[in-house]
Amino acid sequence: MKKYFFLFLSLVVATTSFVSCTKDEDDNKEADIISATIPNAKELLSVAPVVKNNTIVFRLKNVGESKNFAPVFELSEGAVIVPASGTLLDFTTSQTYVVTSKDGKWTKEYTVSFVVEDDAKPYYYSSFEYVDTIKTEGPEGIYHQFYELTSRNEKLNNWGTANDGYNIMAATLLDKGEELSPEVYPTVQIKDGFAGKGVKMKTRGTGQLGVIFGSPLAAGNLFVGNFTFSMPTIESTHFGQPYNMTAEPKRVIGYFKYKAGDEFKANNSSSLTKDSWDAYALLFEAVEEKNYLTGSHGFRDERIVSIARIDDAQRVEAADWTKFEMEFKLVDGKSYDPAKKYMYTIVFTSSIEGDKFNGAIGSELCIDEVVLLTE
Amino acid sequence: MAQFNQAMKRFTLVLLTIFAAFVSASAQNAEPEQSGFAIFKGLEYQLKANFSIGGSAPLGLPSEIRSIESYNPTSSFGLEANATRWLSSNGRWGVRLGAKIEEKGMKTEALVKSYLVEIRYGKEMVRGYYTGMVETNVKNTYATIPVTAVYRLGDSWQLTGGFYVSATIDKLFDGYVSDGYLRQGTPVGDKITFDNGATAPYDFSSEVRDFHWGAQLGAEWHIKRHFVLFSDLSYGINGLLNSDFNSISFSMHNIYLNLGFGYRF
Repeated sequence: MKKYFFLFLSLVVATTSFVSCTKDEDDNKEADIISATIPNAKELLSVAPVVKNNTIVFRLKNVGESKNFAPVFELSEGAVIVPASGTLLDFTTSQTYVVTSKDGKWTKEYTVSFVVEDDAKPYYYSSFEYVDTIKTEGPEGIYHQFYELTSRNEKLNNWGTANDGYNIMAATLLDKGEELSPEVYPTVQIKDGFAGKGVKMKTRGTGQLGVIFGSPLAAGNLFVGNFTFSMPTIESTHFGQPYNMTAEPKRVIGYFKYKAGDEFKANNSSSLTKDSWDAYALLFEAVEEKNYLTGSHGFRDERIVSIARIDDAQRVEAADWTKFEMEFKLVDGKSYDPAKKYMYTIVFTSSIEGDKFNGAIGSELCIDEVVLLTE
Repeated sequence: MAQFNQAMKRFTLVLLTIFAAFVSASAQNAEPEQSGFAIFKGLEYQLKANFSIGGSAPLGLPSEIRSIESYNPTSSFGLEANATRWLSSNGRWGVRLGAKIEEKGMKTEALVKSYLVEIRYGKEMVRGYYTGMVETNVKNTYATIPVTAVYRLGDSWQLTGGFYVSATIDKLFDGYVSDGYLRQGTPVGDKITFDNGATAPYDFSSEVRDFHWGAQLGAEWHIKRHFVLFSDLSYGINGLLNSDFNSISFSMHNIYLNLGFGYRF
């Protein structure tokens, strides 16, 4: 009798063996530059380089004339880069690197550029005259990315938008008869700004998949900083660029137009019944790691030194260009020390509760001629 | 509950059909002088209850799955009624027809690397390579008809082997991804990171196939005259999910071990 007992056992063994045999790991398919630096980075760079999926930008302090650098890269496991990490190159114009994955099947190009920051100024002025039109293939996309020119005519991407994030689904969110163009994205350059060109932000729906990805609505936004897609999506907006001005920030002025969308929808708790816009600016202390604030700062992050925010009287609908002004106020217990390193951001959104994914689809905010003043 | 009632109704219907078919088949073979009840002569009946351990899994883990971090068979049960006709009174061989209602389920947490996924809702779609944790919940309820050959090994042991067809009554195949990142389009595409407890749920329940078929192999231990212990392994020959479903790059099969006891009349 016992001799048949093995049947029970062998059946159990057979089942478990289906689950337990893991195959050898495939060679890595990724071809990333994970991080980048240069020798003497602390003395030469104003901020850690921004590494995106296809670009790396080093911001140089205005200290030396030479643009010969030997960037050092940390790559995906087993990946290879050409030119090799540590190769001395002339970055008068940007250089292209090609990274090949360990399995040899995937390659990725990176454009690496060095931009020399201007000397400290008493003000910072943005007129939104320049955009690159970013085209992507997988997923198909086309959208605007703002840049400014330094006094040496080098491109500086000071402003970020959520367009990179929206791009993930943009092509699939088109209405019937609508074509993929920068105009269908939440943030776009417009021809008729207050002076020259300007920016339009529009709150957009994100469909069923947006709900799945935890962002049932995309408020149009524009902020000083970088966008890095992360989940929760509120962590994707990395606010802040190096504060490179001669004195403490005092005011931000600019021009706006606003029209709230018809139907306010609260995906999270809200006291509002109608959509509104928002604008604010922050000065905050620089740190070594994670040198930014995300959309979840709630004005309570302990690094924040001073806050300027649009007041209710100015946060209205306006069909014509209207001037706005907001004053920086020091956070209790904080003071400005010219010897310290700071970051700053200026943030605009077409839905004031866009961070909670509340808003009205179709709300439209236009902004132009933004100036941060130190007096 | 409504779903369960409906399931039970369907199950009863299936049971009746099978018995009717079996009985009428027996009747045709019956000698003319036998009474109406005699058509059941030579038939042996069993009622069986079991629980299932197993998985809806690829055959051999694909290299994208780096490790199974946790596995829970969940509580999945089955109930079966069957009838066996022995081909001769003292013979070793018999044929068994059953009707069964059963659950097949599991819950797993797996670590995957560059695992091709496609999440689609209508025309909206995100496709890419995911690296990180994937939690999967499977719990499907089937009305199953097993047809098996029975072989007697002495008085207390029997081996069974055969095929089954299953109709899916209740479907569940969902889960979420966390602690990882999705690269859109290709392994070098834009990276969407899921950190700090962020998750993205998926639900492929509607893609679970309506009809399955498979093979099963088992053994029975007749401990007492009426009491039976049994175990069988069932393997779904067609995949768990619809074959035109591309979100998962490999085919998954129901592979379950049933352990239980029965009553022989």
